[in-house]
Amino acid sequence: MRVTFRAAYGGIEYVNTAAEQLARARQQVQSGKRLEKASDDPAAMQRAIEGRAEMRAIETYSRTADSATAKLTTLDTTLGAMIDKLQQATVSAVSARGTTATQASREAAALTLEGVRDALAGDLNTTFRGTYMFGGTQATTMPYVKVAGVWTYQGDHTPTRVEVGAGRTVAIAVDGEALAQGADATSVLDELETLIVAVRAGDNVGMGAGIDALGRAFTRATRTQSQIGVDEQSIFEGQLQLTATRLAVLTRVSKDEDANLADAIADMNRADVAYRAALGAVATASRTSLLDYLR
Amino acid sequence: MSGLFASLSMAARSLEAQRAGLDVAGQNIANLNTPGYTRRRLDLAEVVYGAGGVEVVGTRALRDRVLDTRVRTAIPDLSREGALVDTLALVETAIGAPGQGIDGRLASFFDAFSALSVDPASAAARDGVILQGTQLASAFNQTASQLADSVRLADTGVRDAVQQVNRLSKHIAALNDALAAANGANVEALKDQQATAIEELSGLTAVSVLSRADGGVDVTIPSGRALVIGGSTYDVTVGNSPAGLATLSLGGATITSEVTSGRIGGLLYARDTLIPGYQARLDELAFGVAQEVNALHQAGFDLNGAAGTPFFTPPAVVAGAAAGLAVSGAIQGNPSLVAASQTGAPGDNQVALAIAALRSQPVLAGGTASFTEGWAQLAYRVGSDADGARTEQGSRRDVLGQVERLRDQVSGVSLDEEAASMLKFQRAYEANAKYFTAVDDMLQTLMRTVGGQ
Repeated sequence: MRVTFRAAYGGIEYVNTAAEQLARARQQVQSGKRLEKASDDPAAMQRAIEGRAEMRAIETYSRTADSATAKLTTLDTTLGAMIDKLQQATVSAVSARGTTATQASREAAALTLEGVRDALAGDLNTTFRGTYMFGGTQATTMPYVKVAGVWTYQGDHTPTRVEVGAGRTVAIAVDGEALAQGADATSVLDELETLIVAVRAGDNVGMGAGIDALGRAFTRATRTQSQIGVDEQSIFEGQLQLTATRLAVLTRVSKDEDANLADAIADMNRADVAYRAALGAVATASRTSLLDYLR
Repeated sequence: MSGLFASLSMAARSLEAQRAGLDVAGQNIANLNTPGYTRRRLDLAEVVYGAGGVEVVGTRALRDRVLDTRVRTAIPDLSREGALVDTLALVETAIGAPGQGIDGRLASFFDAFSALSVDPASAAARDGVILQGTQLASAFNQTASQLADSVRLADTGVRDAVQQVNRLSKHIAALNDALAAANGANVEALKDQQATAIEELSGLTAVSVLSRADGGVDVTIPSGRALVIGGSTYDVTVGNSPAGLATLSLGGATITSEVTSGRIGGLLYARDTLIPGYQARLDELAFGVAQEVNALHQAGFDLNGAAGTPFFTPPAVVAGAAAGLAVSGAIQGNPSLVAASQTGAPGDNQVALAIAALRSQPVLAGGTASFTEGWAQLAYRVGSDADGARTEQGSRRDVLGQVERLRDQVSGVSLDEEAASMLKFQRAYEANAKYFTAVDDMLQTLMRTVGGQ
């Protein structure tokens, strides 16, 4: 084999290759990323894109769950207050019944019941950031208003549900009529109106019917509250699961996207040694020729 | 037995021959770095008549036709891959890193609809949906325009390369004329230039080369159409396709599809096959997004209870959908027109939920891939094409390097050899000069004897 001038001095392309490898290894160490463009690892790129989309979906569920939790807390608190008021109303109505009650004590009970009625109406018309929570999907219409002396429900019967996990939904606005009226002929507000009249009139039968209606309203409210509690618990459990899933996806994506620093540093050191060796080889080749020995 | 004068002439010829040898070594060393230079060797022969001695038969360039041909056929493959690598590197920038391209925008868009589902009547959530929709549309527009730019750049590359082809054809034809006119005189330098020009041409497109008796060459493209015949050239002409892209013709025939290798072949493949493939996928994705979102949006009701209108301006056809994607002007101007409700109730969120759920539904490619998967497949395709071209370029470079090294072993100049050769001729020159001096001394001795002094 003849070693020609080009062969002896042509090692520069190897220097280039070594320099390229060194630059690439250094870039990985600096950025901590092994996947910067699609051609670095096309299959990993595909997996990373899908993994990141999965992560975004999980993060969205988490955000929705946070917002839903805030609403559910408000619903829960409001329902708790309603239950207290219904109990207070029942106590007042019971105290007004029977032969021991005087006109004055019945009037006092009637006034208490009026206060409870107004407060319950206020509770049913609770808003959260400007939207009504007891009007179903009629979020911008006040659920209970008094029209011609009758409490009228203006909402609808569809609860607003949001997704807090794949296939897992919770209601963030409930059907107010199902809560306030249920299977009764009139709402608990109208029942209170009737009860107030009966209390003032000392109508024991009417008071008995009113107290029964309050009992049914109480049951509906506690049932709704426990449903909200179940939803809150489900969100809490779902969040734990979402966090675990997100971590698993993150680990998978990271494996595709991020450089293993120990490997990357070892690669960089190897590339550095190779680069120096290539430079040394070219420099050594360039130093000697027969001309150096001819005098 | 020749006389002393004949010996003197022989010594003089010999000195000339050794000087010629030194000249050849000098010529070889002078051209150590000249591209395409083939090493020369001095052919000496013993003189068999008269006083004998040595004579210069000529100088010879040490070419190996087989290796020359192999180098010439390896070049087009390498430069084709090189053109693909360059073009696809640009396309890759349009794809971006995971989460930073259209995939990230898609996620943000569907996130905005999720946020709207939590608060369907909220003006801020509606603004968010419109903002993310606009950003998604502009990401599609930008990616489409980057792909279009890559097509245009490849096209410009083709036009430039065609000019070079025509310039090189003329150069080869001129060399053919010069070789014919030289009529056997020292033509090695012309042949070196010829080989360099053909190799440069091979980088642009594969060519077939037929040698002529006078040392010239006829050059055709692989389909047989001539670029150079003797001293005549046939220019490749550039026309414009309806899309404004270059079409190539040679001798009245369109050859755009015939050029498949070399830089032009690579650029044409990227311009006409690879990038249009990516564009088609991007358009399908944009069309799918517009169609699916619009269908759900139109089936819903806006905040005022009126029937929903298309969220994106509906693209008429798939082609160009990415470049033209835009959120409907009416909705941009009035966020209450965003339809989140399926019943008309302002607090209903079923349409918002349905649009948010599109993020993971397989609606593309006949119901087999979600939007994100569609994008991931496009990224994979671009990545694997670029990676494949780079790998192929590496192996083609190795092949060419090996063939070039083989040829270099025959035709390349070795500095050590030339140094040895210089020394050899220098010493021979010295020895001959000594011989000349000896003969001259003898002549003088003879003259003195004859002159009786």
